[in-house]
Order: sequence, then structure tokens, then C-alpha cells
Amino acid sequence: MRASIESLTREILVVQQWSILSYFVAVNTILLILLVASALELRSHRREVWLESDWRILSSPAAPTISMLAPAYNEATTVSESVRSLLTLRYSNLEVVLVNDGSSDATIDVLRRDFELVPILPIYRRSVESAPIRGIYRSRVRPDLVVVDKENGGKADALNAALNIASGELVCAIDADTIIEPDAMIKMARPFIGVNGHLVVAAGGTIRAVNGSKVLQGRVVEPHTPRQFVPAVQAVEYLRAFLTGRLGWNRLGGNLIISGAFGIFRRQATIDAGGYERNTVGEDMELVARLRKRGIESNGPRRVEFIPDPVAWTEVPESLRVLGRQRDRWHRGLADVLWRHRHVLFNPRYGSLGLLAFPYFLFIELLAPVVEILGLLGLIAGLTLHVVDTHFAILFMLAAYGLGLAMTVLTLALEEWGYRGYGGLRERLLLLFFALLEPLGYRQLTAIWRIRGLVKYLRGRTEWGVMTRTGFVAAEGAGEGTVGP
Amino acid sequence: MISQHVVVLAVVVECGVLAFAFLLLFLHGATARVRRRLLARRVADWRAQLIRTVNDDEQGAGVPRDVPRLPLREHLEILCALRPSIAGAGRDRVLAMAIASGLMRRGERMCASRLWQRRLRGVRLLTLLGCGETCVPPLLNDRRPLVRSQAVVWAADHADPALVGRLVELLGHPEIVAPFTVRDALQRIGRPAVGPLIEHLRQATGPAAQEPLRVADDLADPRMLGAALRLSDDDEPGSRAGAARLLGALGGAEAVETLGRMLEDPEETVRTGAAQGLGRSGHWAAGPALAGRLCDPAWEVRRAAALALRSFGSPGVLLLRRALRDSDSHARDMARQTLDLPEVAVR
Repeated sequence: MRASIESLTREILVVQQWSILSYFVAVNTILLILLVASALELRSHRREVWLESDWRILSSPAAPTISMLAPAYNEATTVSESVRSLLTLRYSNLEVVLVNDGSSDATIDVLRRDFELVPILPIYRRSVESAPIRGIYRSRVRPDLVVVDKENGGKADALNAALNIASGELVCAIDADTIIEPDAMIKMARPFIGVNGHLVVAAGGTIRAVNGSKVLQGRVVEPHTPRQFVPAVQAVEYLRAFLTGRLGWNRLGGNLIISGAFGIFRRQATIDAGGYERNTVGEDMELVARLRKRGIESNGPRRVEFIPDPVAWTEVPESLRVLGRQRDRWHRGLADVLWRHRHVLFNPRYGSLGLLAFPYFLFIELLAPVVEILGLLGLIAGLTLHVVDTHFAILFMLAAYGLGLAMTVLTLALEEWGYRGYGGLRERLLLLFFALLEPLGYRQLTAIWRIRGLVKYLRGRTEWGVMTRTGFVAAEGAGEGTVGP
Repeated sequence: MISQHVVVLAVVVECGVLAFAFLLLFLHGATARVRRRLLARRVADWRAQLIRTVNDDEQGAGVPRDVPRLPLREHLEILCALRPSIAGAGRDRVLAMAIASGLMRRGERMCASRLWQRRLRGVRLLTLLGCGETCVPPLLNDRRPLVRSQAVVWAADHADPALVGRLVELLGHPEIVAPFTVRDALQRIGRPAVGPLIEHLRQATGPAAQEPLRVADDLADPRMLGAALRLSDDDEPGSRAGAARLLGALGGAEAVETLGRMLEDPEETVRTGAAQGLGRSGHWAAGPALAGRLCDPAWEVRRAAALALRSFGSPGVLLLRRALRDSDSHARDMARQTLDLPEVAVR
């Protein structure tokens, strides 16, 4: 009896190891395809923008008007700096709509004081639902700044309120603490006004981790690789996610994710789609999926473009606890979006969205952490029961580590070829160093957080969790001019 | 199980890939650094020389003979930085220097290339330099949309009648050239574009008239009135709405009378356009007709009518105040909002 149980366990373990090995090979093949697609896309993007003049867009009355939608919740330490940075962006037809989402701190008072806000009564249509608005203000010193003070309803709700007030053809949704590159809007407007621009419904760009960089007057004046482990590995992760993941998807049928920290959409299409979904934690991804789906169904604008240019900087979590909450929420959001739009999966009507993007996000993005942890547990069990040869296991782990590392280093090579966003050689060496460390523990930890998110989603929990920020003003005031210690 | 040799082979291949990536990373960085250092002096000299040439009024057509041999990238970086901020004789001198350094010849050669990327580079280069009259116009019909678009950008600085005619033809064909590119080019061309545009509007009907109407609205030349009046009866609501906005920009008795009629159009976009047009024309005698639209079933029409009334000043405000006592609740609401009355401030 005992022998037969042992033999059965061995057989199960062998089958499990084979399945995981096949999954590993399939995932890495797809990632390799994405990497090659990214390299091709980057090359073609560089050719397309070579010698293209920014002045044409900057000086054209025909350029689309853009409304920046910035929700702020308890951002009193950073809000003024962020707004100043938005108001000095290089783009002629720009308005900033900042929404104070029922902050319990002094966010609205800081804004009133720093921008001399006066109440206004604009005629607007409540096209999408949002929590009640307490007041709408315009700045006396910067008439292109509109501040909406509303009751708390969450980020999606705040963005919906801003959508109702905004007047631009395009709306750019950002987090209030996002630092945007001065010429970002010119770059972001390009997909909408270029060839086949009428088909583009949304666009995103590369976002980097600002921790460790020198920030002055709401601008990154000296980019640096973060010096601490947690933000630094996230900097590597962000590069990989944006430069190989999302850029590659441009060539493989379009993206499904546009970062909530910075994304640009057609306002009318967003309103027609019903605005942001308020009952989800992945409102940015949900909107993109809905816009693409609706565009295909109604033969309207449906393409989601990603531009590789670095357009924005965001403060990434510096503690594992906050990071864990963020990753857990992202994964819950992903699960929710895939479930809400499940009929798109493998549906040929939706083309690459149903046949490529959805399966990728389900089988690779959503389920990868589960498979990864199962694989590790199986390996430990296999080694204990002597089903797996120790030498083989070590070699295999080495191969897996090497493959992940190779992907990351190739991404860094793309970054070196394309942008060198973090500055000199020393910064890139640092990135490389953290890339070497990333697979050793950090990646497994993120897998656990993502599994926790999946479990929470299955149990129906939808809270956001608290995001603690250091704040740029504090960092400048400290004399070091850096974010974080 | 998989043979151990296969895994060893995989590890060896990965090591190779890693070594390659590392090399790529460092060699690229190092080469760029060395290149920058080697060229720094020549780049600085050339920049200084260019600035001297631009600023030196006495120099006339004199172009420095000792144009340094710089790689194309560095050469263009300097020109790109300088070109948008100079005009007149300084610009001509910079062009002369570019010709002397062989940039123009290079751009022309690129335009004739079989590779679209090189053609694109060629047109971009010639757009920057402001030359290329012989080789760029044929590229308006290039196979590649990006090259066509860049040729349109180039054409904005070269208002030749034949070119303008071709640009007008390209309006409303997003599959050939991006609408923004053509619209922007025609707006920059300005007055010389009016004739071909009127000619086009005389025959255009349906959706094909919408983009030309947008450009016409920006240019707003009185000679466009006939075409606008004709298009106010078009079958396509989008074209009628565009014609209404253009009529508002043009003004005059005939335009106002047509706009008044268009306020009764069955399509809300046309009624909105008509209300906006009347507001733009400043014809306050149209106030009562606009006040009647405050109870239109469409919100956009009510809003456009109310804003038009407000733009009339006192006569319009009087009508809005009267609308506060209207039996229609929509009209009352819109009038209140337009007059900035506080009771609707926050809802």
C-alpha cells in the first residue's frame, strides 16, 4: 500500500514537473517573441521620429486639445509641485483638471493657497456617474487649471468627475504624484494625429521609477537608478514591462494595459463607453479592454498604441509591505478584468484582442505565479523523494535563472540603444547589478503577493490598500534633492 | 526526463546570449562616449561658426569655406536646434552653409532611394533645410503613408498652386494622409489655399466635404460663402453642421438667414452648429430664434443656444433672464447655468 502511494506520488510529481517544464518553455518562447517584436518596434519608432519637429505640433491650432485628469487623495505634500509640473508642460492646447477626491488632509487648502482658486460654474453634462461635486474652481493665476472638489469615491470615480468637466478632445489620466517629462504631451499626441490616428483610442508611454533621482520644481533634473534594493528592482521591472512587454504588443495586435499613472484616451470614446468602472481595482486596464472591445464592435477607434519614449516618472513603493499591497491589488484588478470580459477570450470576432492578448494575460500574466510556486514546491518535493536528480535540478535552476537574466539584460541593451533614461554608464551598471539580484528571492516574493491577490479576488475582497509616499517636496527640502532616504 | 546534456547546452547558450548582451550594452555605451569626446571640439566650432554666420549681417551671402567634416547626426542636431528660431537672411545663410556642406545633395539622394526609410529621412532633411523643390513633390504620391505625410509637411512651406491643389484633394482621405497633417499644412499656407479650397468645396458633397469645411472654417474667407450656402442643404448632417459653423464665421445677411433656417434642422448636430454659427456671427437679432432653442430636446443644442445668447451681451442676457421663467424646465435650467446662478452650482 505504502509503496503504491509512493509510486503514485512519484508519477504525479514527474507529470507535474513535465507540465511545468513545458509551461516554462512556452512562456519563455512567447517572451522572446515579445522581445524581438519590441526591438523591431523600437527600431521603426526611431526611424519614424527621426528629425521630426516638435514645433509643428506645438505651433499648430489644429493640434488636438488635451485635458490632464489628475485625481488627488491626501496628496497635500506633493500636490502643488505636481500641478506646477503639469502646468509647465510643452503643449499649447492643454488644460489641467485636478480632482480632490474628498481628501481628509489639507490638499484643497494647499491648492487654494498656491493657485488662488476662485469658484466657477461651468455648464457641463454629467455624462458619466460620479460622487457629488462640492465645488469647481479655476485658478486666478493659471486659468488653464480647473480644480474639482468632490466627495470621496475612489480613483475611478474621481476620473469620471474630471471626464465630465474636461473639454479636451483627448484626456490624459495621471496620478497626482506622476512627474511628466516636459515634451511628453507632444509625443503622446503623435499616435492620434499620425497615419491611421483616427483608429487610435488610447495610448501609453514608458514610465520610470523616480526614487533616487533629483527632482526640482516638479521636474526630474538628474535621473538616477534608485540606490535601495526594493525601488531599484522595481526600476528594472518597469523597464522590462514597458520596453519589452508593452512595446512588443504594439506589433502583436495592441496592448491591453495602459498604466494608471499616465495614459491618454479619446474623451468622447471614453464617455460613450461609460467612463471608468468604479467597482474594480483595475480600472485602467478595464477601461482599455472595454474601449478596445467597443471599438471593434462599433467599428470605431479601437487601437491602443504604446510609445517607447520615456514620458513620465512615478514614485515606486520603498517598503516590501506597501509593494506587496500594490502587487496584490494589480493582480486582483487583472483577474477582475479578465473575468468581466471573459467572452472575449478566444473569440475570433475580437481578432488579436481575443486570440492573443486575452490568452496571454490569462495564461501567462495571471496564472504564472501559481505555476511558478507549484513548480518550486514540486521541485522541493521531487528532491526530497529523489524523483528529481539534484545535479539536474541545480542545472535547471541555473538555466531558468540565466534565461530570465538574459531577457532583462537584453531589455537593458534596448534601453541603452534607445534612451539611456537613467543617465550615465554607472547608473546602467547599477541597474545591471540589481537585475542580477532580482530573480533571487524578489521574483518569488512577487509571485506570493500575486497569488495572495488572486485568493483575495476569489474571496471577493476589493479594497485598495494604503499607498505611502515620501513626497518630492520633502526630498528637496532635505537638501539632498532626492526622493526617499 | 530531459538529458542533462540538453540543460548544459541551454546554460552554455544562455551564457553566450548574456555575454553578447553585456558586450552590446558596454560597447554601445563606450562607443557613444568616445564619439562624443572626439567630436566635441568640432561640434562646438561648427555651432559657434553657424551662430556667427546667422548673426553677422555684414557677411551677405558669404558662406564660410571651411565647413567641417561632421557626421550627419551631429550636423543635423545642430541644425535642428537652430533652424526653428531663425528667419530671413540668417535662415538663407544657414541654408547656404548646409548646401556647401553637402547636406542638400545628400537629402536629394535619399529622396530617390528605393528604401522608404531613406526617402523619409530625405524629406525630413529637406524640410529642415527648406529646399528640395524638384525631388519632394512627387513624394506626395509615395507608396508609404509616412513619406506622403512628410511631403505634406514639406509642402506647407512651399505654397505652389499645384501643390496646394493636391493638398486640398488629400483632405478627407485619412487612409492616404493623416487629416491633421493636411489641415495643419493648409492652415500654415493660409491665403494661397483659399482658391483651391473653394474650387474643391464647389463640387464636394457628403462626408468628403467635412474636412475641407473644417479648414475653410479656420481660414474664413468671404469668397467661401457660395460653397457654404450650397453645403447647408447637403444630405450629410456632418457637412451641414460644418457649413453652419463656416456660415457663422463668414457672417452677412444671407448666412444669418440660412443659419436661422438651420436651427430647425431635424439633426441635433446641425442645430448645434447653427446655434454656434449664430453666436459667432454676433447677429443679436437672431436672439429670439436662439431663445426658442433653449427648450430643444438635445442638451448640446440648448447649451450652444444659451452660450450664443450670452455672447450677444445685454440683449442675449435679457432673453436668458426671460427664459428663467419659461414653462420648460430644460430652458430654465440652461438659462440658470449660463447666467451663473448659484443654485445650480453643485449638483
